[in-house]
Amino acid sequence: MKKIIISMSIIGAVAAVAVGATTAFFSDTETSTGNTFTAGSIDLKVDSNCHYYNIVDFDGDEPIYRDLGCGQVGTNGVGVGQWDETDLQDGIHKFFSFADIKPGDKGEDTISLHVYDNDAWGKIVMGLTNDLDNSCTEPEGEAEPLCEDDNDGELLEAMLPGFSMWLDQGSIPGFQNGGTGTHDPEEGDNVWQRDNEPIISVRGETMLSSVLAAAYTTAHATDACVSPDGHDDYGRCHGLASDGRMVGSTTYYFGLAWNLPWNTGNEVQTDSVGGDITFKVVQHRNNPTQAGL
Amino acid sequence: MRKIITSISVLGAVAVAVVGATVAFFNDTETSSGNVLTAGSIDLRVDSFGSTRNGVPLPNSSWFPAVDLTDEKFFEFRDVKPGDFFGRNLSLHVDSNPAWVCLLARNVDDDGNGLTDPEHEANDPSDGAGEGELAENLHMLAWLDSDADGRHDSNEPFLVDSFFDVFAELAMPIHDSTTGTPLDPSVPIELLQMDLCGGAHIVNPGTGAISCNGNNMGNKAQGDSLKADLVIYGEQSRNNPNFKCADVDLND
Repeated sequence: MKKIIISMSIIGAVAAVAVGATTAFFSDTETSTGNTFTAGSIDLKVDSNCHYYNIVDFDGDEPIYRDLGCGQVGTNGVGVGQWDETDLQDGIHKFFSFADIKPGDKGEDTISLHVYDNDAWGKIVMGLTNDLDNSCTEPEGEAEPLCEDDNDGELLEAMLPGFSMWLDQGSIPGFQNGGTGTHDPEEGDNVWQRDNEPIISVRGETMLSSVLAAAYTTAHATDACVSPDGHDDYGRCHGLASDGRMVGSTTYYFGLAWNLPWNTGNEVQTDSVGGDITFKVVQHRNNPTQAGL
Repeated sequence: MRKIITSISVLGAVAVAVVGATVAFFNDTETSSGNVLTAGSIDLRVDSFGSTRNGVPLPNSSWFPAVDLTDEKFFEFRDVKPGDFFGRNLSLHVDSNPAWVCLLARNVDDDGNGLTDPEHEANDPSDGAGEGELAENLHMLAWLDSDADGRHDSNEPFLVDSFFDVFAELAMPIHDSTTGTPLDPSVPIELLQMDLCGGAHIVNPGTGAISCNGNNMGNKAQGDSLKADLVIYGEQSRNNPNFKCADVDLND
């Protein structure tokens, strides 16, 4: 310690001499003020728009559906599947909460994801894993002789053929978000356009980069996308990058539809399907391997 | 040397820390938890205030509370003679969901049980299995007994008015799209009254009161028997606006 103090005092003496010497010269000073480092943010927001349909009539054999809405607004002010962009709160923001579905019912959520300011990698985890028999009614027992109150329900298998998720980008590739120049009325419209909207698995984990990169490849092949990084000023291909990143501040729409087929039998009575649906994002920059997803 | 070793180990520790930090990229996770889709149920149950023969309540013919039917019989009468009449009251319940409800019949056996002498004299040609004459000589009326008096009133429309082959083509709407609204689970009680007459019912055009006239039930029906399973059938009304009992196929 003693040695360090001595060294410091010597430097101080030299500095003092130098200050004394500068006063007599022409001088100028350039100052860069306000230098800061500010950490960016990766903040995912989710919103949802929900529809629930019953058949109210037939036109010949074609059912006519009516949208009954997805349920009452709870005390916390959040309706089932119905909220503006927000962080999701446990047990409050539910895409589905239907206690009494029947054959012929169908529904749809249009989910949108927003990562503000920064590009990010995304992942969807569909955890609809609870497949419960719950109680066994008398008609259920006749259709399902071994019915027990266990986690071997029939509702999930009945619904899986009609459970689907898709990238609801509309007929113009990418997400114009109602942009000034290019408007795509089919973007985020709750309807699956078979030719233009790729399907996403409703089970397990899906890396969004694979979906978005494939969408970029498709769009680029038919009519070249201008920017491989997906920043197209909300024009054609905006939000679709060759590496499948989510472009910052873009609103990405996903459709999520379900139905209970008309020919479903009594074996699904009182059964339930449930679980968590999770969206994860992680920064894109400095992270070519999508670490952290 | 000791100092150098210390430095190296510190560098090692720092390197480990850096490796640990690389997975902590800025990130965010949003989870929607507790999503659930639950199927509803249609479970029909039946109770009964009982049945009557010629207006007299029969013992042990009622059951309560409502059950899923096992061996409960709506009608079980032996020695039916012209002019005999029988009543049965049913109360139908669905637990939680509105449902269309029908009364159907299957396994109808209209058996002759052999020719008696009077049957032969009445020109009954043969009287084997399926050749009985009881079904065509029974008349059934059914209605919703809205005032629960067990009698028919003029404001209670008949749901079924069945003469020949009384149960053979029975597809009686209790609630279907031709009669109006489905059975509502919130309605605590709704009584279905069914009356059978050996012969033909006569309905008083003023009061709606019914009586049984046995005049046209001849000797051909002697000794014959009629058996049938009477089926109360319920089906969801949601997504099913055009349901008709006549379309129900019990073999589904």
